[in-house]
Amino acid sequence: MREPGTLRRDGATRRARKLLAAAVLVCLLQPAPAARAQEVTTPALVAAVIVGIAKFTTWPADAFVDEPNLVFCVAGDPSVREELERLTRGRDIEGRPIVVRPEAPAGPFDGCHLLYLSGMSLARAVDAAGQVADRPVLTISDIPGFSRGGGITLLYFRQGRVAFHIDVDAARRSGIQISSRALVLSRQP
Amino acid sequence: MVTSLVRTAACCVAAMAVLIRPAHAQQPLPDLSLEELMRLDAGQVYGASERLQPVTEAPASVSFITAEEIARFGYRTLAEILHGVRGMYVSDDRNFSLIGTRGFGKPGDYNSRILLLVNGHRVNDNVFGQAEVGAEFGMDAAMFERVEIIRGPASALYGDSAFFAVVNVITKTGASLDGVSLTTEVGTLGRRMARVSGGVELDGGVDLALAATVEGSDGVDELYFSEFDAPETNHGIAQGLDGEGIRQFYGRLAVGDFTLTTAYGTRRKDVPTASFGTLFNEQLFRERTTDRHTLVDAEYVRTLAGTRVAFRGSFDRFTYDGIYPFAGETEDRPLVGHNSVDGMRWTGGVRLVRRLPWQQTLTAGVEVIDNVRQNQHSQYLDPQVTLLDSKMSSLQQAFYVQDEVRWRNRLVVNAGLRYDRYEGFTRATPRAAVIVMPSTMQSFKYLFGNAFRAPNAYERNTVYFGGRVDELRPESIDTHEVVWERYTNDWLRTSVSGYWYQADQLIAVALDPDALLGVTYVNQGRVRARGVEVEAQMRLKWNWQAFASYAVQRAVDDDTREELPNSPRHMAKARLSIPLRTPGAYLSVEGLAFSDRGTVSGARVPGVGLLNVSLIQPIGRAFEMFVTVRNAFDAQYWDPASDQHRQDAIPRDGRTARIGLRWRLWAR
Repeated sequence: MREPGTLRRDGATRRARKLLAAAVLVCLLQPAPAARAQEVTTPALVAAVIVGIAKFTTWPADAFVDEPNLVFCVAGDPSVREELERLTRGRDIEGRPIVVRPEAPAGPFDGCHLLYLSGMSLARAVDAAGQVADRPVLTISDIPGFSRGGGITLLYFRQGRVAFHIDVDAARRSGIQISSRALVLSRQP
Repeated sequence: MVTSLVRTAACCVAAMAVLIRPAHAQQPLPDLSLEELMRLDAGQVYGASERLQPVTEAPASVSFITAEEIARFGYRTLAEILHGVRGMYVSDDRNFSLIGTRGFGKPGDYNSRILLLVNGHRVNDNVFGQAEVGAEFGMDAAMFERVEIIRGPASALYGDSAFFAVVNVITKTGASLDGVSLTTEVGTLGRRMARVSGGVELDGGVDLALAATVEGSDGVDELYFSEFDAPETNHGIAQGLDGEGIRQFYGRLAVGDFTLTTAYGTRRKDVPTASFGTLFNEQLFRERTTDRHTLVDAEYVRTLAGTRVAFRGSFDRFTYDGIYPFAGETEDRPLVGHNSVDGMRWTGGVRLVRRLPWQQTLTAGVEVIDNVRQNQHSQYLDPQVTLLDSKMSSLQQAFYVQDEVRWRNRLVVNAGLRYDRYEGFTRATPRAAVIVMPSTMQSFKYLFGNAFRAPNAYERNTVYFGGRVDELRPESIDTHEVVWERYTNDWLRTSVSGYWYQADQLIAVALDPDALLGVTYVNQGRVRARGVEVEAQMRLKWNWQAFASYAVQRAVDDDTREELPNSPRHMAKARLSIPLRTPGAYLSVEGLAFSDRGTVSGARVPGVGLLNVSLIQPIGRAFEMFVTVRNAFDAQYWDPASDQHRQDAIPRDGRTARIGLRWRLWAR
């Protein structure tokens, strides 16, 4: 090949190198914990957030009269249902084993403590949330407009991350209590 | 050089050997706090279908780089980001950056076969069709929230230029900037930078982000080019001709469903290579290019009767000035050429996304692009002689439709078609994808794509290139790709893809004695390529984050059966980011290795191994120090030059370093 051009370095490089070496050394003197990245699928993350919100939710005692387990119902999104099954296998919340159950979008949602609605029209999701509005059921959906339509929790994606909005009034009407530790993270989409 | 390559490869292998061990220490997802879950990336992509969707279901092979990675690895330009991405490489002729993708990186090409989007809006200019990815891009990388790399053709959605890949830059919101910061940076090669940025999110859906950056560099003091090694050309040394100056502004305002994004950027670069036959080491009338981009983009999105409707209107302006000193009648008085370009366009469009029965998602849209200015001007200064004064304008219209059908969450079939109407031709572009998902943790994709690149206003310049360019037709490409993506236990993502493409009617330079410049453009190039890419992304013990990729590719000219110039056969890349003791402190290392590449003359530039090291260290509550050393082993390497250069290869920078301080003045 033809001999290509070469670089002649400027004088500042040597000084800068010493400065950088010192700076790097100072910071390398210490290893330990911090934030994290991701290698998870969207359904897995959504399922984990649903479980996370459920951990901060208190159901009235009479919600467990007929059904001692904590029942997560999923309508319309088999991917999130499968991930919920995987992530909650052998786990419980406050001593109550978690059971994941598929539901038809039309209901009737009997025995559900948590209802996740996805992959359907907003009208249908709002209709489903309306069916359980006066029951202690934590309704969650990723369909835009869900919390305006009477649902309790809207999941949405913002800058590549998952976020949620909790409608406190809707939660109160249903008879469930959501801890302030979840409410402080709630934001309007 | 070889030692350096081996050393870097050994480092990468050693790092991977340490990293790839059982993930028993991974915290299961349900054990993470809500705050931690909300910091994880949701693995969604927008640019593959013009709507958010999980990467596993997107009809393309997708990668993305997040703001956190940009900060941790000290990336300062889109070019640096893309250089670390699977299957891509970015070369630099010390004037413009050139993206090579899947073996195609023709020297002197203006990146017109890559579509560059900002928040889904096209920013390739309307004269050269150029996707500018170096500092000339006009936006500060610190304002990127995410960069999506969508491989393969996407003309079925975006039309022109979405030929080899689409790069979608998603910019930061006020919420993500959250507060006011001052940043300063100094470095080798006389690098200095100052940035002020601020963002706030208010109640009622109001979000405001603003940033301004001033940056400059003296560049390499003395660049030696053996091709010019003669006493009358300073023995081949270009002195002090590598500097650049950058000014950038970014603003974004969102009020409810309405978003307004604005950006302005200018980059002035001295050119040390004496390209286009200009005078070497000319100090008084330097060869210099200045690029300016202006963007104003307004979008209003809302749901009407179950249909998500997005209305969009944009204004783009691109101007360019080039100063070219040529030999004059007397030695002390060069003949100075001045080229200028003024491109301006208005874009309007409506996009609909609606769910239909049987788990269908329909996307449809119309787009009108009014290129009100595609002007080119060329003259000699002092005495002023106008060579070219071309004032062009054109109108493009398009509509597209795409349907996604799901079956039992195990199968996704995606088909799309776009119809483009230009003033000289029309084009219908299809694409199709079949995605099989045996479980939520893995997907197999078969992707078929077709794309075109229309002859741009520069190539259609009859004054420069003669009447033959009126016959230019769009280039086209057909691709087939299979992708296997797999997620393992919420800590490992792996991806394998194999592709084959055939590009036809490529617009190439041909000799034409009748044309003013002695050359013209014709549809004559044909390229075939195939390759395999593998990628692994890991969340490891102690919150270590790692990424590794390898690509093998072969792209050949179908007529000569020869490998394309600037087309490395092998590329291996690895990134590792390690949290240090102080929260927010990270040490990040990037290793890149490229095999040798052919030059335009048929010679070869050797392969290279590069190691980049970055460190972020918070100091107290208000300050953060960051250090980046690029090419830490000081490897000497070159990129093949274009036929506009007398050089066969252009040297890249050796070791460079930057150190900076960010002062967080105020945060909510």
